[in-house]
Amino acid sequence: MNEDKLIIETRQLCKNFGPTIALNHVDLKIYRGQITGLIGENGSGKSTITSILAGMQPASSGEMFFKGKPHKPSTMIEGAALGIGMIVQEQGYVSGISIAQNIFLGEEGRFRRHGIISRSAMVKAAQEALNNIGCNDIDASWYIEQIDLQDRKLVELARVMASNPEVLVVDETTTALSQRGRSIIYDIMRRMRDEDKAVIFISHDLDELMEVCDRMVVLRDGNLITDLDKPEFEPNLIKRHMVGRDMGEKYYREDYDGTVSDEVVLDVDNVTSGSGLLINFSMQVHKGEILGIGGLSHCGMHELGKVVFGEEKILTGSVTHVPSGQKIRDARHAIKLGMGYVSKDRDHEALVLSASIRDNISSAGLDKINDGPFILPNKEKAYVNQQVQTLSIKCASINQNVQYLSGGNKQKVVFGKWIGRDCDILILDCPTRGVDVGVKAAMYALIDDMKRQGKTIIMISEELAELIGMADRLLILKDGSLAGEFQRSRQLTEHEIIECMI
Amino acid sequence: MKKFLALLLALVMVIGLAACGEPAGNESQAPASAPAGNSEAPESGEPVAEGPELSADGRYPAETVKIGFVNYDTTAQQFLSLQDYFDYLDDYFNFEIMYSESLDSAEAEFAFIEQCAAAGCQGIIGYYNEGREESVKLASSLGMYYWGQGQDPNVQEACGDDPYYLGSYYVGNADYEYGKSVIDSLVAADCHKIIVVTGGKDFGVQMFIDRYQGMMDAIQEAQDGGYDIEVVYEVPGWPGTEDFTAEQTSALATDADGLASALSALMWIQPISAAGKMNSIKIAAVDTPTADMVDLMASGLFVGVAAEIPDVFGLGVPMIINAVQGYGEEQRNEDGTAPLIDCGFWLITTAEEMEYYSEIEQEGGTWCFDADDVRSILYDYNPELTLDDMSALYSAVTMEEIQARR
Amino acid sequence: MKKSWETIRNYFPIFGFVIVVVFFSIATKGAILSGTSLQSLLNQAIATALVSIGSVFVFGCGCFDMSMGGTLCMTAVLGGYAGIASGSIFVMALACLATALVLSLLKGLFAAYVEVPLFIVTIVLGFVLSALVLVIMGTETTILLNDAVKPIPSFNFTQMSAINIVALAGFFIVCVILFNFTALGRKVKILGGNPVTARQTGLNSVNIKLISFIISGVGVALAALVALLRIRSVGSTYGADMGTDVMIALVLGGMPLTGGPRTRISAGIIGALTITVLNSGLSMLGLDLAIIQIFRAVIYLAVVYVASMTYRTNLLPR
Repeated sequence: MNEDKLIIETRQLCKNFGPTIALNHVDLKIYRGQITGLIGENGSGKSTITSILAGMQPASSGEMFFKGKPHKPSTMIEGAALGIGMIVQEQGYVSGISIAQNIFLGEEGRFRRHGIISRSAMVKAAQEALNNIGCNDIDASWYIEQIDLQDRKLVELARVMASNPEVLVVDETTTALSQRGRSIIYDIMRRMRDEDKAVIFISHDLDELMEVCDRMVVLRDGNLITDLDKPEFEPNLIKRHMVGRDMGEKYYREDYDGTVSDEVVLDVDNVTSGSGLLINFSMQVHKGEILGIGGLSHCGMHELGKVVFGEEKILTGSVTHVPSGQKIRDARHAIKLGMGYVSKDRDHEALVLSASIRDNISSAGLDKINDGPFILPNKEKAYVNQQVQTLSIKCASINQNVQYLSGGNKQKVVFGKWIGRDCDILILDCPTRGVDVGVKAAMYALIDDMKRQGKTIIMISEELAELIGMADRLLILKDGSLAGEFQRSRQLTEHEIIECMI
Repeated sequence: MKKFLALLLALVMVIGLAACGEPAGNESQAPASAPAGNSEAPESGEPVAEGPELSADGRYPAETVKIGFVNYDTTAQQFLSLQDYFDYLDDYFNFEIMYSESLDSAEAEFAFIEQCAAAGCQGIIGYYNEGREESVKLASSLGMYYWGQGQDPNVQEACGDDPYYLGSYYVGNADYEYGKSVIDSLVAADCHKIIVVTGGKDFGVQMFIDRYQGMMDAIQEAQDGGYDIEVVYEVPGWPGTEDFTAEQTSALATDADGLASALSALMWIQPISAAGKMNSIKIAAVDTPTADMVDLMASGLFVGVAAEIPDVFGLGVPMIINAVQGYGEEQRNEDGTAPLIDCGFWLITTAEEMEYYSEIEQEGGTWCFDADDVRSILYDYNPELTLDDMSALYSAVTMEEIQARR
Repeated sequence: MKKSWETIRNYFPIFGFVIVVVFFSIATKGAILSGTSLQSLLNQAIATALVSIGSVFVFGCGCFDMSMGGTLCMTAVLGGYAGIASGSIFVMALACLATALVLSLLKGLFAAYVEVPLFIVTIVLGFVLSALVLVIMGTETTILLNDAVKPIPSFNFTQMSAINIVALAGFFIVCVILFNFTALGRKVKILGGNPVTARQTGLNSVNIKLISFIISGVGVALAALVALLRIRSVGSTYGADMGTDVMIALVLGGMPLTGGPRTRISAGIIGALTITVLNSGLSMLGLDLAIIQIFRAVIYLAVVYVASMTYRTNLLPR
């Protein structure tokens, strides 16, 4: 590569979070006129390195150079002023204000006329910024809550692009986007490349990266493993670099035997949910079945998971736990009946982030580890350690706070809560969301394993591939009602299902 | 690990307490005769008994006597005067006062008394007493003398025999007397129709109930003596409220010619002036003498002010010093109980008196009881001292009497 | 061994306590460590410590209770009246316990079922309780145990210290066991940390809150009883500062007032001891009163700053 095009260089960059090493002497080079993909498992250090570049946090040691000059931004604002724009995976907007205000957050002064900030000028400029990225259909004067999550991401993109960055960092943003949103982002990235600017693209989706990127850098456990140019892209090779071992072919379930026992364990009868997203919905779930639930966003599938677990109020109908004959009243009741629930919103619903791995895992199993009224620390530790081992959760100690774990490891902790309880029925809402290939494979194996033990799994997912790969039976929801049902089959294609979803 | 440290600390404290419990117990058992301190002084031919020349430098007693002062409002005028008085005495005697903050509960009072003991105080002056006899008992159990609160019969009854209780000053029922003398001065000024300002009487505040009772009894006495006097209006509550202002207006609409106030009456001047009654109304009140009031007395608007003397609380200092120096026994009643020393209060009826009193009671003033007066009630200076001498001194508070001592 | 910041931070309260003790030991030339002083410190710390230890559960599960002072005052007043009417310590203790439990349960029910933020409810409750105390006491400002129909035994300074130690140690140990060796403590931490997670984990928030308030009620009852025995009187303003003292104690003891996983029982006791040593030490220094106020204000500001730091959510990348 032409070294004239070098725009960012890190030398021996290190970052520690307590005892955890997030970056280990990384030498990364980013060039103009290129889309550089960063790939690696969760916790490999991809987001850490970009957040240091953007000024979100300082490095522990090492040097950075931006356009040949030493680079050490102390805040994101400073980073942005220098020309590094970043779209993060997490929520990057402020609620309760308009889209225009979000786009020009902190720069309101630009629209000052005689000491008063001109709202109309701001909206006009914001609309231009939105149009510029091809989002003509979003009205800049609306409140941010009026548009859906996907469009909010696009607003963030508009904000970043409005400041004309020389380097654009897109961190895991596309997982939250539909095809339309993705193509908008891809267009922007390509435009940046054509304007001889640089793009860093972080994603889990290998196919996506292979399609979009000109170059790919693989990170693993904080180390820079390899640096590949487009001709060298080869999925299995990259996966091997990411995981550090051969993945083999086995990923999803291998068998295509979709038959399950006739024994019904859950009977959802004519349910309308409190939020109105599920309307007169009925289904039966069988013992030992992996029931896949799919659909577009707002089709009611996430609500279905909550309804079954007793977490969402139902207006009509009932959910019956057939073996006991009891109607499920609330989550506590559901858990007593041997059910478990992995929420889609891991950080806000499934985990107490500020609590330790130990507190989180034991919280669901307190009735499994007690001696009479007492809970002895040794027994608790043994219980937690067993889950940590079973799921190979990467951590320095079980007393480590969950918030410092990577997404995949967080999800493993959530699984640990329910696996420790030995649940008979497990409801998984987007279990592999934001989780990398290695952890995904492990989870699929785990789900398969549970099925073999006769446990029932309801798997709600936005990824059709994993639904097709894992489910015995697949229900597709549309507008709160059942739109289609598919039996497990080698012939089942995404195309058929998408037809049904739309 | 942290829990162990916490437990360890707790353990250390418990052991510390167990170990220290013993000496504390002993101390509290040491009774009457000679509590800690230097009892050699009186025995060894009274080397310090010669008097003034020894003491003007503040080197008596040889060892600093530390005294805790229990207070309820650090901003009160009387307290500030008293603080000045102690600062003045400090130049002549070797003692140190440890003031409390504004205390508002028995709990806080106890905590302060305990802190005093820990800080090495040998005596407590109870300027405020919420815990009543329990405060005295606490001080006593901690080996500190307690002076003050003689008006409370419970304290006398429960602690009168306690060698660590030193008694108090006594003005009879002071508040009752104030109320009475306020009416007396109005009678003397030939007032017949009286407005009575009752302060906190209706709110159950004891001092105002007593003052009110004193006023009513004085009116009754005057009527019994054939003097024509009646209450035409009663104004309750405190100034600064709308109710009070409204009451003032109504009261001044009557044909009253006298105003008896259980609290400072300065806030009446403006309404009276506005009502055009500066010459038709006379005021008597319970208040503190200040320079501002001299003119008011001279103009004839104010005819009487009953006032407590801040210095009176200073009596605690010599009494505690006496006790510390080993004169605890001599300082008691014949039956061994703690004495109540009669003290006077001021009834100011002339501008001249007002000027004099307000001047002596301020920093740089001569005070009602100056260092020489205090010296005369210390046994080491005056071995012939009796309780009657103390009462005589503290009752002699009129202008003439004070001037006679100078 | 390399210690993480988290671990080091756990020791801060102890460092703080030791620093305060060392500072005042030097400043008072050791007077603060004398036997009398230590007993006195314990006497003063006892009410704050008992109430704070109980409050750890309440604050731990995310209930911001501002009415501790009013509850304590009402408990002591009703306990005092019961003692005077019966002349029995036992009846007095029962009355304290009953009052504190009823009030705590009331707060617990509010916390569990009513959607209004608890701190508002408890601020109001605190005012209501203070007003009720005034109504109950009528024209009296202080009620005296010595007015009892039968004399209530009185205890001297040393005996009182022993009673204090037994009450405090007993309650502390029970709370440590409940918090660290039963499911309750873990549930409190999860509930305080994230109520949604707690619900989805099947924890019964109503039960947890009620039990937490009951424990805090026992602490309040003990504090009121011990205070009655020691002071032998209750004023209508008793406990007025307790609400803030408890919160300062918890923060000095190293737990966030929003509760959650960093909740610890030791916060109650270490915080109460620290604040007591601080207050007594300042008072014993014999400084000018104004200087004491400034000194205290600075320390409280520092506490508020540290407390607010714990609210800051760290946005760290994966």
